[in-house]
Parts: sequence; C-alpha cells; structure tokens
Amino acid sequence: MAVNVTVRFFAVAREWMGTASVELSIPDGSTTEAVWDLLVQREPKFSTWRDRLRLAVNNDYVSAPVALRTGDEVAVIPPVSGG
Amino acid sequence: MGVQGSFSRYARHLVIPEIGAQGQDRLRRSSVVVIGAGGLGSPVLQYLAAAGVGTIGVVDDDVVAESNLQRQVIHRTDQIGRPKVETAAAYLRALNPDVTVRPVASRLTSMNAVEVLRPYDVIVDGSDNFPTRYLLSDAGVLLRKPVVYGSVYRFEGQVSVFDARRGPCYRCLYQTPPPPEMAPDCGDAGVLGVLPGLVGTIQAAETLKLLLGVGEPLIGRLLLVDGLAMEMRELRFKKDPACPVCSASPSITTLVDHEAFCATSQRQEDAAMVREMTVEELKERMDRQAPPSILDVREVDEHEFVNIGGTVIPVGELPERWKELDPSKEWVVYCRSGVRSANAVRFLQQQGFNDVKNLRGGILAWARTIDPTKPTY
Ligand SMILES: [Zn+2]
Repeated sequence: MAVNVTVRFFAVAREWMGTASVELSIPDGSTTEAVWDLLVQREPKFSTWRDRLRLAVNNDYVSAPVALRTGDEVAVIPPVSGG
Repeated sequence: MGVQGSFSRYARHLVIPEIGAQGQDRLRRSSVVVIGAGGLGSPVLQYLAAAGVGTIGVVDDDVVAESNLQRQVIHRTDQIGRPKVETAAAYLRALNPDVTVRPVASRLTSMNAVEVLRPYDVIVDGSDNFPTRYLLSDAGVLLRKPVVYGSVYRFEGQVSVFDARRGPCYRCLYQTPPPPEMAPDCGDAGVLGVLPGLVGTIQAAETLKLLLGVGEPLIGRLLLVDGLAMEMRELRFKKDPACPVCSASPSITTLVDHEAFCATSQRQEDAAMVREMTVEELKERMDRQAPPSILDVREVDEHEFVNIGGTVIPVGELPERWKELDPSKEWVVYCRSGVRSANAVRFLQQQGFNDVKNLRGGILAWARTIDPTKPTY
C-alpha cells in the first residue's frame, strides 16, 4: 500500500518546481522525510536550502518528521521578504 | 482634537458597538510605528491615518523612485526623488489633520531600533528585506510589543502578528535569515502591484484590532495569501521551545547588528580583499608615537559615546566627504564591530587610497583587549 499526498509549493519553491502542487506516492508508514527525499531528487535546491524551508502538514507547521496518511497535504513554505 | 470635534469624520466607527466613542478615543491616544513607506506601508499608513490613530511614526531611508509607483500608492509621480517619509507624511497630514505624523528618514539598525520603536504601542513590519524583519521581530520580543508582520512575493503574501507574550515570534518560524540567492528582495523578485495592497490592508486591520483590543489577532497563525488562486489559507504555528529570542532561555538577548546578517559568501570574499590592522598593532603604533591617521565611520553620537580618537565621517556621508581626507596618508578605519568600516575601506580604496586598513573587530575589540574602561554598546 502506498500513501498518496499532495505537496503544495509557495513563493520561491513554486518557481523552482514550476508548478503550484504535485501528487506524490510514498511507501506506507512514511513520514515527511520521504517527501523531502523525493523533492530533492526532482530539484537539488531543496537539499541546499532544506534547513531554511518550513513544512506544514494539513496547515500545521511541523518541526520534526511527521507520519503521513493518504489525503494529507504538505505545504512547502519558504521565507518571503518583499514589501 | 477630541472625538467630539470629529464626530462626522469617525461616524462609521462610532456606530459600531465594538468601537464607539470609547474605542475611537482609544485610537486617538494610540501610537503605531510603520517601518517601510513602500508597498505594504502605503495602505497601512493610509488606513491607520484615516481611522484616526493619534500618532503614526514612519521609518524609511529611501527616496521615491519611478519603479515604486506601480504599488506604493502613497507616493506620486511628481514626488520622484523626494524622501519617502516626507511624501508619506504630507499625504497623511492632508488625509487627516487629527493625526500626528513622525517621519524618521533613517534605516533601522540594531543601534537605533530601541530608541525609534520604544515610544509606540504597535510595530508594523512593512520592510522589504530580511535583516530588518529579524531586527523588528527581535525588537518586538525585547520591548514586549506586538509586531504586525506582512511580506509579499510575486502573487503571494504572508501576514501574521508576533507577540511573544501571547505566542510565537518570527524566529519561531524561521530561526535565521536565508541567503540572498534563495530569497531575493522585492526589487529583484517582482510583485503584482496590488498584492502589497491586499496584505497591507490586512496588516492595518490587525493593527486596529490590537489597538482596540477586539477580535482574534493573527497570533500563532500565518495567513498565506495566494493571489493567483485567490485563496487564503491559515497555517498554525507554535512557539519554538528552542527559539533563540522568545524562548525561556534565549541565546539572543540584545539586538543583533543587522549588517552581520548580510555576511554571504560574496561578502566574505569581499572582506578578504580588505586589509586589516589588529587592535594590538594599533596600540603598538600609538605607543611608539607613530600612529596611522585614524577615521571613525560611525555616527557622531556613537563617537561621542566612546572613541579612540580620529576624524569622524559617518559611513553614509563618505561619498560626499571623502575629499576631506588625504589619500597619500596611511589610514586605519574603525566602527563598532568592523563591518561598516570594512565597507568604508573598500570605498576609499576605489577612490585611490592606497594604504587604508580596517581595524579588525572595531572599538568592541579595543575595549575587550586593550582598554576595558571603554564602555561598549
Ligand atoms: Zn520565537
């Protein structure tokens, strides 16, 4: 059984991916770490800037890896400075 | 002018039970400082002044440029080249003469932030760069004041309220500033002109709510505005128990020199090209009565507070005043910590000063290792 999640990208992460969201399939029992791994494969910048980006799962910011279930939504939120 | 005399102006406030005469009087006795009179600052300032907030501080060191006018709606075409705080103040005074406007035409730094921000009830972050955003969030924690945060990128915006007494701060979200190549400032990134209008009006609403003590402020909540999908989502975030500023055992307890934040790899390369003199070397040269010419590039009041002599020309005035200095002499330049003076050394080298060095660590290093009787700040 795989877990299917939606990953949404904001600000500069959206530019990197060239899209606002992707659907990802990760192994059962995976956490947000599995999402990171897939993102890094698609775009190496996620690896470089990983500690400067924040993830929110179902609209809650998370600090530590969180177990994911099918239907969960993961948002990738970079800091933004423009004014 | 009291509420009585302005009944008609605030009539639509006075009829709301949550505001009324009492709330309107509260706004009149309130003070707000807005950092940045740009895309976000424009609507914030306009609505706060219109609402009758009694005292409004405006902090910005920039002048109006043509490229600002696409989104910074408080300034006009015929004002290009004028200081933004002046044109914003003129707009606000014309909009509502009840309001006292206090323009501050300088850049907010760790040196002046406490003095500038302390008199106000609420701080509004309408800045356009990370160093100022971190400075404001930290200052809000240290001064125990709420910071109404907003920022924009292309079609997106973020809004939140940081109040460390009741919730998290900006560093609970993002502990340290990102490198510039990841997050370009607004000038580089581009922004749909109306986006700061959307975000800034939400900031104005949050500010008025805080002043009136009504409703639920955006504390612990980050509102993400997506102008393309025209969606708003609310992300919840908590106080970081390891936050360097607002946790129970903070590692940052004074304002950080914001220039240090800009220490990117590029800057470090630049720094390598700046020749340095240590405080020990300078002391030794002074002791044998052969000191180099000394230049202090801090502000005059910093020099008066503590100095090791020398000519004073603040780094910001150097482009106009460097000709007062003799380029054939040997110079050593100092500031507080060595950052401003490194910039000054680079500038003087470009003007043909062949023998100019940076005093490593600035007057702080001098006070630490040569003369502990010197006060530090
Ligand atoms: Zn914090």
